[in-house]
Amino acid sequence: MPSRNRGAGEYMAEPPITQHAGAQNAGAAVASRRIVYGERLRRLMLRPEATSIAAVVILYVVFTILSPDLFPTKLTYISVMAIAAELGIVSIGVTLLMIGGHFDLSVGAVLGLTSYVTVVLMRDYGMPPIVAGPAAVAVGAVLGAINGALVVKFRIHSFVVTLGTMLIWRGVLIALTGGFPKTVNIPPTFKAVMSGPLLDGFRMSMLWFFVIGALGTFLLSRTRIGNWIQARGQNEQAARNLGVPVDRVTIILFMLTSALAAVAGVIQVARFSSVDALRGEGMELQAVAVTVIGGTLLSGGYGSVIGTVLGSITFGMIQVGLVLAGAPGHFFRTLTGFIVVAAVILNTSVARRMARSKPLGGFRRGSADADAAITAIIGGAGGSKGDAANPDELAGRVGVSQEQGR
Amino acid sequence: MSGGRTLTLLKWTHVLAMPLCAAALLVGGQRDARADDTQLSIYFVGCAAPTGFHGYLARGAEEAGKNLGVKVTYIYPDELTIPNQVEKIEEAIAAKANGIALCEFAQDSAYTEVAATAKAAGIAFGSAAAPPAGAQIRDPNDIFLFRTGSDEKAAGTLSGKRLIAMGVKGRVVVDDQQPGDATCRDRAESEIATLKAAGINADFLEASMDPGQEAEAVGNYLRKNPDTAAATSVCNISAGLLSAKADSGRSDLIVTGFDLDAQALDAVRDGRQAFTIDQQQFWRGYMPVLLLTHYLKYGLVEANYFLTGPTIVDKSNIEQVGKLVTAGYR
Amino acid sequence: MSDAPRDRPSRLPAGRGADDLAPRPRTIEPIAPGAVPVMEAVNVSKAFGATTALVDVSLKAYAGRILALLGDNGAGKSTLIKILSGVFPPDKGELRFCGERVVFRNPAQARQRGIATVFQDLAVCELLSVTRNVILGREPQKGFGPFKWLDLKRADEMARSALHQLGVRWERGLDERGVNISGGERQSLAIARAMFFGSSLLVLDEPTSALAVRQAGRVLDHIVEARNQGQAVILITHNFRHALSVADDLTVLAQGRVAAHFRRDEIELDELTELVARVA
Repeated sequence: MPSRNRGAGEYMAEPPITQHAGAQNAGAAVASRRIVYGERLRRLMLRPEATSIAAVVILYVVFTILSPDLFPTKLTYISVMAIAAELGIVSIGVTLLMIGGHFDLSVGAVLGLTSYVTVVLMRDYGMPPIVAGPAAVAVGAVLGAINGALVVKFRIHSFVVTLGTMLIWRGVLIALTGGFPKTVNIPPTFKAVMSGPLLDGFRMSMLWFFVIGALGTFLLSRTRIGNWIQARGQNEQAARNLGVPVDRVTIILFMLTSALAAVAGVIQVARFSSVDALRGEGMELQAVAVTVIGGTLLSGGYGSVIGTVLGSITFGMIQVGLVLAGAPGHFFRTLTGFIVVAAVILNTSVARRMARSKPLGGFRRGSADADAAITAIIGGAGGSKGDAANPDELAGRVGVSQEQGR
Repeated sequence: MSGGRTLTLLKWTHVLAMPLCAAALLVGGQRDARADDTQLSIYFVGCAAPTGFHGYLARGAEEAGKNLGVKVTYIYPDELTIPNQVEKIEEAIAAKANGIALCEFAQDSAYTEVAATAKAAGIAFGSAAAPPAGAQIRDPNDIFLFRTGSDEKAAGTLSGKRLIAMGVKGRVVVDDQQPGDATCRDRAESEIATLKAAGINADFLEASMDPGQEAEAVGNYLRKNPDTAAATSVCNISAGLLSAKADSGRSDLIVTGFDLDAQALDAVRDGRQAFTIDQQQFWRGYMPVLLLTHYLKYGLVEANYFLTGPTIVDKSNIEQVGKLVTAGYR
Repeated sequence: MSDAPRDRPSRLPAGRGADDLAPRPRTIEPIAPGAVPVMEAVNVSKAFGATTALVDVSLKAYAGRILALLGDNGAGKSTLIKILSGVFPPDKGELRFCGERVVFRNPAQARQRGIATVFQDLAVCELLSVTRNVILGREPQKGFGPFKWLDLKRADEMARSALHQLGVRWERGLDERGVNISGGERQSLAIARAMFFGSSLLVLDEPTSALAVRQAGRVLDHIVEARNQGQAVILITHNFRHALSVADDLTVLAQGRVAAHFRRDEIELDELTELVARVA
C-alpha cells in the first residue's frame, strides 16, 4: 500500500504501516513511535487553539529579542494580563455569539453605558457596589435581550441590528454625560476585589477573566446549549428541524455577550473611578480581532473560548511589547494592525493546511487504527508494541461498533 | 478648532437645551416687547447643541446679550457638516440678523460664499474660532470681521513652557488618546516641539480611549524610560494617566492635561495633577457677541485677533476656578 | 445487518453487491384489510395566492411499507411534505395520524407525534462529531436542577446504538466530524437518529439524489432496514430506479393531483417512465 505521507517529510524515513482493508485488524498494525507521536501532534495542531498558542510563543520570542531586559519580566506579564483581562471578558461573549453565527458591534457601547449606570447608581443613588455592579450587569443583559429580540423577530442580520444599537446606546451615553467624564468614589475593597493587584502582583481582573473563560469553555463543550450554539452556527435550519430552540439560543447569546461587556465595564469603573462618553469605544472590533486570532471562524459554527483567551493575551503582548521595544509612538496602531493581520493569516493558513493534511503513516484520518495504535503505544504499559492487545479489546476501547463479521 | 474632539461627541439634543433656548428667547422676547427696531439681533451659529463644551459658548453668548442689551439666538445644525452649518447661516441671514457669529470648524473656503451673501445683505459676520497660526494682525480682506478663539497650538506651547519653567529634566511623554483628532494632535505636536527646542526629550505615545490600555501603555513607557519626569494627556480624559502614576509608584511624576472637567479638578486639587490648560470657552461665546455689538453700534473693528485662551489652571487658582466650573462659567 | 431472522425479504438477495440497483420484480404483500395507516392525507388541497399547489390529494402511509412519491418539479411534492411535517396546514382536507385527525400548528408538533422529516442537505452539522449530531436536540444530561451538563459517555452509547440498530456499519470513531463523512453516511445517520428517537413515520426528501451509486445503494439498504423495523416510510424521489428497487407502493403526483397509484408489483420501469412523461 503506498504511503500517503504528504507534509510529513521527516517521518518518511520510517517505513509506513501496512494498511489492512477495513477495520478488522485494529491493533494489529505495527506503528513506529515517531509516526504515532507525529500523528498525535498533527491532531493537536488541528485544534482551533493551536495556532493562537503559536502566536503567543512567536510574539514572546520576538519581543524578548527586542527588549531582553524589560520584556521577559513579571511586570510585563502583569501588564499583559491586565490588558488581556479587560478585553478578554468582552471577547469571550463575542466569541460564543460568533460561534452561534451572529455578530455584536454594540459591546463597546454597552460597556460604556453600563459603566455609566454603575457610576450613577453609586453616586446619585448611594447604592453600594455590591448592588450597583450586578444591577449594571442586569442592565447589560436587558440591552442584549433587545439586540436578540430585534434579530430574531425581524430577521435582520445581527451586524446591522447591532450597528444600529451601538449608535443608539452610544448616543444615549453621550447625551447623558454631556461629553464630560463623571467620577465616583470607589470603596477600596471594591476596587481591590475587582481589579486590585492581589494575586502576587497580578490583577484580580485576571482571575475573573480565567473564571469566565473556564465557564465559557465548559458551556461550549460540555453542555446541551453549547451543542445548540455550535449547531445553530453551522446549520441553523437543520438544528431547527431537530427541535433545537434556535431563537431562544440566539437571545440568550446576545444577553450573555452584553452582560459580559457590563462586567468588564464594572471592572473598569472600579479601577478608574470614572466613566466618560467614549468609554469602550472601539472595543467591539478589538474583540472580533482576538476572537479570530483565537481560531473562531467568522462564518460561525466553530471556535474556541480558550483560543480567545490566548488571543487576548496575544493582543496584550502586542501592546506591551511595542511600548517596551520603543516603537515610535505614532505607529502603534499601524503596527498593532499589522501584527493582528499576520496572526490571523497564520491562524487560517496553518489551520487550512492541517485540515487538508493526511494522517501520517498511512492511517486514515481519524481512523480507529490510529486511535488504537496511539493508545497502544502511549497509553499502554510501554512494553512490546504491535501485540499490545487483542483487537476486540482495542476496538472496545475506542468505541468502534462491532459490525464486522456479521 | 479647540474642543473639536467634543464636537464629534455631541449629536443629540439634550433635554437642557430646551429651557436654555427658552430662556434665551424669553430674555430676547421681553426686550422685543419693549424696544423692537432699536434692539440688535445677533445670531450665534454654533457647532453643536448647547450642552457640555458648547454649553459654555451658548452661556457666554447669552450673558453678553443680557449685559449689552442685544437679542442673541443660538442655532446649530443637528449634524455638524459644512452644508448643514452653511444652511443655518443662511437661515440667520433670512431672519434678518444684524450680526452673525460663527463657530467655525472648517477651512475659510467653506464659508466664502455665504460670507459674501451676508456682506451683501449688510450683516456683520465674525468667527468664534482662533485665527490661523502666525496671523496676529487682522487682514483687511478677511471674510470674517473678527476671529476669536483658543489656539490649540498655543495651548501645547504653553503646556511645554510651563513644564520647562517647573524645571523638568529628563523626559516628557505626551499621550494622545484620540490619534485621529486634529485638536489633540495640534496640542501634542506643539508641546513636543517646545520641549525639544529647550533640549528636553519628549516622546509621543499613541494610546486609545480605553483607560485600561492607556494605563498599561503609560506604565510600560515609564518602565522603559525611568528618567521620565512628566506626562501630559492631550485629550481631556486623564484617568488612565493618573492610574498609571499611582500603580507605578511614581508619585513624583508630573501629570498635566488640557481642559477642565471634574476629574481634572479633583486631580489638581489634591496634587496628583500639576496643572491643566483651559481655553476659556466662555469667552468664545461672549466675545463674538461683544465684538459684533460694538461694531454695529460704534463701528469698532479689532486690529489684533483675539485669543480667548489658553491659560493655565493650577493649584494657585484651582479653588476659584472650581467654583466657577460648578457655576458653569469655566 | 442484524442477525435476527426477518420475515420480510431484504431488498437484495444475499451475496449481491450494493451496486446492483436494477429494479427487480418481487412479491409485494397486499395491505392487510382494516390496517390503519400511520399517516393519511385525505383530500388535501393547498393554494398560494393564485397558484394551486395541491388539489384533492389523498395518500396513505402504512407501518412497515415504503411509499414512493414520484413526480416532476412543480408537481406539488415539496408542498405535500411541508404539510405532512407541519410547516403549514392544508387549505382543505385533513391529515390523520393512526386514524385520528390531527392538526399541526408547527413542525414541533409533528415531530412530537413521531413524524421525522429528513431533507437532503440538512441532515448533518458539518463541524460537529457524529455523536453530537446524533444527539442534537435530545442531548442526554446529568446533574440536577439548573446545573446540568452533557453526559458524553451516554451520548456515545446512544449514537452507537442508533447506528447499530439501523445496521449502519461505522468503521471509524464517533468523533469523526460531519464534514468528513460521505453524503450517504449522512443520510443514514439522519435516518438512524430519527428512528432511535422514536419516529413512526419517516419522510425522506430526495435521499439519494446527490449520491454516487454505491452510496445510494447503502442508503437504500438502510431505508429498507427501517421499513423492516416497522417504520412507515414516504420516499420522495426523482429516480424511478431507486424508487422501484425499494418501494412497496408508488404514488405519482402531477400538477398538484394524484395521477396514479400502484403497488410495486403492478408496474415496471418502462411503463412508469412513460406514464410520468405523459401526465407531467
